[in-house]
This record gives sequence, C-alpha cells and structure tokens, in this order.
Amino acid sequence: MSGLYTSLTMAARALSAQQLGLEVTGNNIANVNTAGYARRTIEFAAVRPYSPMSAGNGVEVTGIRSIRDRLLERRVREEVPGEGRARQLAELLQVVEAGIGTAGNSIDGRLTEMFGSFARLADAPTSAVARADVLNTASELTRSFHEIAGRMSDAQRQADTRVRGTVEEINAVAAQIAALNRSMGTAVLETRLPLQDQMSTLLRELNTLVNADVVERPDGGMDVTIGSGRALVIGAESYRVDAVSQPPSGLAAVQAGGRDITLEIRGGRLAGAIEARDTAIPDYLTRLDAIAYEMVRQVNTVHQGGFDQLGNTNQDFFAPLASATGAARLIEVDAAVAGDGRRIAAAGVNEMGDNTVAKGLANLRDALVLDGNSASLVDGWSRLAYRVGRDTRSAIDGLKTQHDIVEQIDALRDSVSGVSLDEEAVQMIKFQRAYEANARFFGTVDETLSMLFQIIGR
Amino acid sequence: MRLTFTASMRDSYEGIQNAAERMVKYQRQVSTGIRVGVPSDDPSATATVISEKAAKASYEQYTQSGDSAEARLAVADTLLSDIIDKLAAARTAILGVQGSAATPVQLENGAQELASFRDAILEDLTTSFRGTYVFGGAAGTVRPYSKDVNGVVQPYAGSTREMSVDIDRNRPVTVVFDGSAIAQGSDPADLFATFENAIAAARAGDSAALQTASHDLLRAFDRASQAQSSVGSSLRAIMDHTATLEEAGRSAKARVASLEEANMAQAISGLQQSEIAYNAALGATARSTRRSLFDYLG
Repeated sequence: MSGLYTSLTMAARALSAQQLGLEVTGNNIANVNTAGYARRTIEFAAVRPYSPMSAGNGVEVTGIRSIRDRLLERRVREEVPGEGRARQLAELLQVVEAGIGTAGNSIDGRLTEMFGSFARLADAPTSAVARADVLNTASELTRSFHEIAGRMSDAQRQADTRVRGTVEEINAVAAQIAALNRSMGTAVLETRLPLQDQMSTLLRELNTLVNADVVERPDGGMDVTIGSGRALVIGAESYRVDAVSQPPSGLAAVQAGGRDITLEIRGGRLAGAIEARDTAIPDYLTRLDAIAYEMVRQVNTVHQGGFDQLGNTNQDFFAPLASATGAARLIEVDAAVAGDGRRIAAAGVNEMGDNTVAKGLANLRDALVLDGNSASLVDGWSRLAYRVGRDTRSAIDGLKTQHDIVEQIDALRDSVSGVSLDEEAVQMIKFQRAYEANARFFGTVDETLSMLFQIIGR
Repeated sequence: MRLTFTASMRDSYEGIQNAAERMVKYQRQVSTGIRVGVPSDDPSATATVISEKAAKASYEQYTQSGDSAEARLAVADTLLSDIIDKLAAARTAILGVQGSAATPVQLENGAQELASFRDAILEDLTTSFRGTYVFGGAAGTVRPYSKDVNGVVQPYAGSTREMSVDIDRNRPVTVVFDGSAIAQGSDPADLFATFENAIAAARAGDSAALQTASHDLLRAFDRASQAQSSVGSSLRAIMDHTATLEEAGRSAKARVASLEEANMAQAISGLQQSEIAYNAALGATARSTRRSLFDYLG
C-alpha cells in the first residue's frame, strides 16, 4: 500500500505531465501557420504499481512525437516540381505572348499595310506620295519585326536570368539541407522534431526549384540528387550546381561537377525556365525569322525584275539576308531605296507609268510562300500567334491542374499533420481539466497530511 | 477526415482567388467588349481572327482599287464620249463643204471648224488624271500627243503598253489606254494626219480627199466607240464586283466580331454571377475564420 507521500509524488508527476500536455498544445497553436510543421502529440503511460496492493503510480510522459505521413510527404515532393515547372513556363510565355501584340495590330497588320501600299502604288505608279507610302509601311514593318524579335530575345534573356537565379537558389537550399543533415547527425532524438520540420520545408522548396530525388539516412538526414543521379547533398556535404555561360549565345548551361546536366532537368522552376529559353522561345524566333526571311526573298525577287523611275533594274527592295537566322532582327529596307522613293521598281518595263511589278509585289500578300508553299506570310504569323497562344494556354492549364493536385495532397497531408484549432482547444481543455483535477487531488492529500500533522501536534 | 485551420484558410483563399479571377475576366470583357485579349484566351480564334482581318483588309484594298479604277474609267468614258461627238461633228462638217456649191468662205469656215475639232480631240487625248495621261499608256507622264512649232500634231509619243489595276485577285481592269490604238489603230496614219488632210482638202475644195478623210474619221469613230464600250463594260464589272467585295468584307467583319468580341449579355451575366460567387467566398471565409472552439471558451 502506498503512502500519502507517494500520492503527493504521483500528483506532482501528473501535474507535470498535464502541464507538458498544455505546452505541446500551446506549441501546436503557436505553429498553426508554420510551413512544414507537423502537429505534435504527447504520449502518456500509466506508471506501473510498485506492489500488488498499489492502485498504481500515476502517469508519466513517454514521449512527444510529430504526426507525419511519409507517403504523403513524398507525394508532395513528387508533384511540386511539376507545379514549379508549369508556373515558371506560364510566367515566361505570358511575357512572350504580351510582346507579340494583338490580332491585326502586329506583324499581320503591318504586312497587310505594306502590301496595301504596293497596291496603291500599282494604282498610281508615278505618284511620289504612293512611293513615300510604300517606304513608310515597309519601314513600319521592319520596325515591327525588330520590336517583336527584340521582345522575344528579351524574354529569352529573362528566362536565362531565371535559370541563373534558380541555380543559385538551389545551391543555397542544398547548403541548408547539408547543414541540417549535420545537425541531425549530432542531435538527440528529442530535438530532431523541429529539424525534421525544417527538412520537410527545405525539400519542398528544393523540389519547387528542381526535381530532386531523396534518400533518407539512418540518422534522419537526407541525401539529395538531381538530374540523372547527380549528387547535390550527401550527408553534411553539398555539391554546387553552376550556371556557366556558353558561347556563342551566352546562355547558361547547368553544370554539376563540370558536366552539363541541362537536358537532365525535368521538373521544377529550373526546368520551366530552361524549356522556355531553349525550346519555346527559339521556336518562335525561328518562325518569326522564317517569315521575315521569306518576305525579303520574295519581295526582292519580284522587285529585281522591275525598273525604278531612274531606269535601274535588278535592284533589291530590302537589304538582302544571307540566311534566315536572325532575319527578323536584321531586316531593313535597302538603303538606296529607303533614301529615294524613285528607286522603288514598280514597272515591268522601262516606262514610268507601268505598274506590273507593283502589282506583283501587292499580290505577294496572298502568295503561298511559307511552310512548303502552304501558307502566306500572314498565315505564317497567324500560325506563330496560334502556337504562342496554345503553348501559353497549355502551360496555364497545366499549372492549374498541377496546382490542384498539390492542393489535394497538401489537404491530405494537413488532415494528418496539420494543426486543427478546434482539436487543440479540446486538448487544451482536456489538459487543463486534468491539471485541475490533479491539483485538487494534490490539495486533498495535502489537507489529509495537514490533518495528520495537527493530530500529532496536539 | 481531419479539418485543419490551414487547410480551411487555403481553401477559402483558393475560393476567393478563383472567384476574383472569373470576375476580372468578365469585367475585362464588359469594359473592352473583347473576348480574346491575348492569344491564350482562345488560340484558334486568334489565328482565325488574324486570317479574317487580313482577308477583310484585302477586300477593302480591292474595293479601294475598284473605286480608283472607277474614277479613272469615268474620266476615260467622258473623254471618249467627247471624242466620239467631235468625230461625228467633224464628219458632218466635211459633208457641209463637200460638193461644188460651197463658196471659198464656206470652205475656209469648214476648214476652221475641222481644225477646232482636231484641237478638241487633241485636248481629250492628252488629258491627265492623277498625274498620268489617260491615253498615254504605260509611259505615264509622257504627253502622248503634242504640236510642233508649226501647229502640226506629232506622232504618238506614249506607250502602246496599257496599264491595268487589280480589282480582285487575278482580276485586272485596264485604266490607262494606248492612245494610238484609238487615234490610229491599224491605219497608216493617225486621225490628226487625217484632220490635216481634211483641212487642206476643205480649203482646196477637193471632194475626193474629203471623202477619204471622212472614211478615215469613221474608222476612228468606230475605234473610239469600241474603246468606250470596253470602258463601259469595265465600269459595270467594277460596280458589280464592288458590291460583292463589300459583302465579303461585311461577312469577314461579322466573323471577326463573332470570334473576337464578347457576348455582352453573357459577359454581364457572367460578371454578376462571379460577383455573387466572390462575395459569397468572402463571406464564407469571414464566417469560417470567426468560428472556432476558442470563440466559445472562457
């Protein structure tokens, strides 16, 4: 049979246990908005009685643990790179999309205006005003090509800047993970819980940047690889990823240990930036260049067959281009023509009033000269605008889908690991009431002892 | 399933965000009247709108070319009418001085009258419109006929190459004519030489020469009439075709509008619905964040 002192000790232990329970609850409430935090629970166990005649020795705290579902946390890490990639791609393609202008007010509108001015020249081949009009519209068209090519190149550089920035962020996160691994290796079991929370947050952050494979270490730390198994963090060591400028473009290749791993990156913001920079935008630029190059070639071919007002023939209207590469950036009206409207060849014979060539130039508007002679120049632009729109739409839709998936997994994770204020309120009341009851028990034992002391003292 | 504060807040935020996005989308449609603002709003509609706008601009350009051609042809028609009238009058004047009854004064008057018809026709054949001679062919700014210092009209200096403009794809209409085809045709001499012969014959009272000149002028009359008939046909074709082009332009415009422009009734209704959804999402969030067990403690 236990004595009153034992009861006092038992009550004191119970008070401490309930107080700790309150602390855990308080900690949960305090971290309700902390990213990566997994709610804690306190585990009690009844203390075994010392003798068969004992009711028991009260309660003891056997541990505090965080409630985690490793499967859900892995699913989050698997889905987050897709969201990061789609978000980055959507952001960058929206920049490109904004730069190509609206239907009728971009290259298509300028092309229509220039060919319209050729038609007006055909109507009045001797008119100086019509010739000036041709020069103005051609100049506007070349300016539009320059502007749009410039905006696309800017977007490509912006994507490159993001590649470089993201690589630096990856290195920073990798260094933090390595530091955490170091801490975990030396931490006692009780102090690992906050480190696990931080690790969870960092791994999610890393996967937002780049798809990373994670292997858990026996001490609770994580080894991380990216690409085709390139080490990023092994134990307490992190291995740098570098963005190295490549000639001639100057765009950065992603290197790990001196090897180019750009093509190995499949997910995360880094993949989105690389895809926009190396695939989507170059494709648009190539198509834009093809339109500019083919227009220059076709207009020059027709123009060369004509006579200008000074009797010259075999002259170019646009400065000739060696190849389609960079055509949209380099396109210019031939300097001699730009300086003197009389140099525009409108006539098919050396007679000032003839308009055969001007008509031929105007008819190029509908000529099928692109994509294997299946599309006019305006059709080419229309296909480019469609492609930009389709890719952007696809990236936005992909982002929404991926975001929804991550949201759902986050909700599932939260249902396991998240802090419920209602639940914590119940816990708080529970521990408070338990504390009160134990305090009352303590008081009762104390009163009993006092009474005994009083009897002894008489 | 356990419901947590964070999940509840995230759901609330998502709800507000989605409703706000829909509201902004409809708000933009209502304020601009445009459904397709950027290509990603509807990529295939964007591509179609670009093609339709180009087609519309093409119709407008051909309509403009048709209008311009119509104006030129109307001038040519007037000039040819005048030439035909003058040629008919010249033949009448020749008839007046033919025969032995004419006095020298009458012969001289007849010669003077013929000279004035010649000058009038010369003026018609050297009329320019918008900087180019109507009957100068592709020579454009080169005066097709002119007099030398002795007042003799020189041979045709214009071009025999005529100029046409397209009033539609592969549909050319001649708007600048070869003056020599009217004034000379396949004759050995042009009508101004015929006039010179007729004037000399009138003064000399040479009936045979006057008779020859009358025949030559009749052939010139036929050529001018034929040219006018061709001009008339072209004018009718332009008028008919302009109506077709205008209709095609209206259709293209309607197609662009149906693709690009917002359906206002739908947009306004969508705006109202999304506004209600937005307010509901705000209200639900405010309500759910007020409610927790903590509100009922102590």
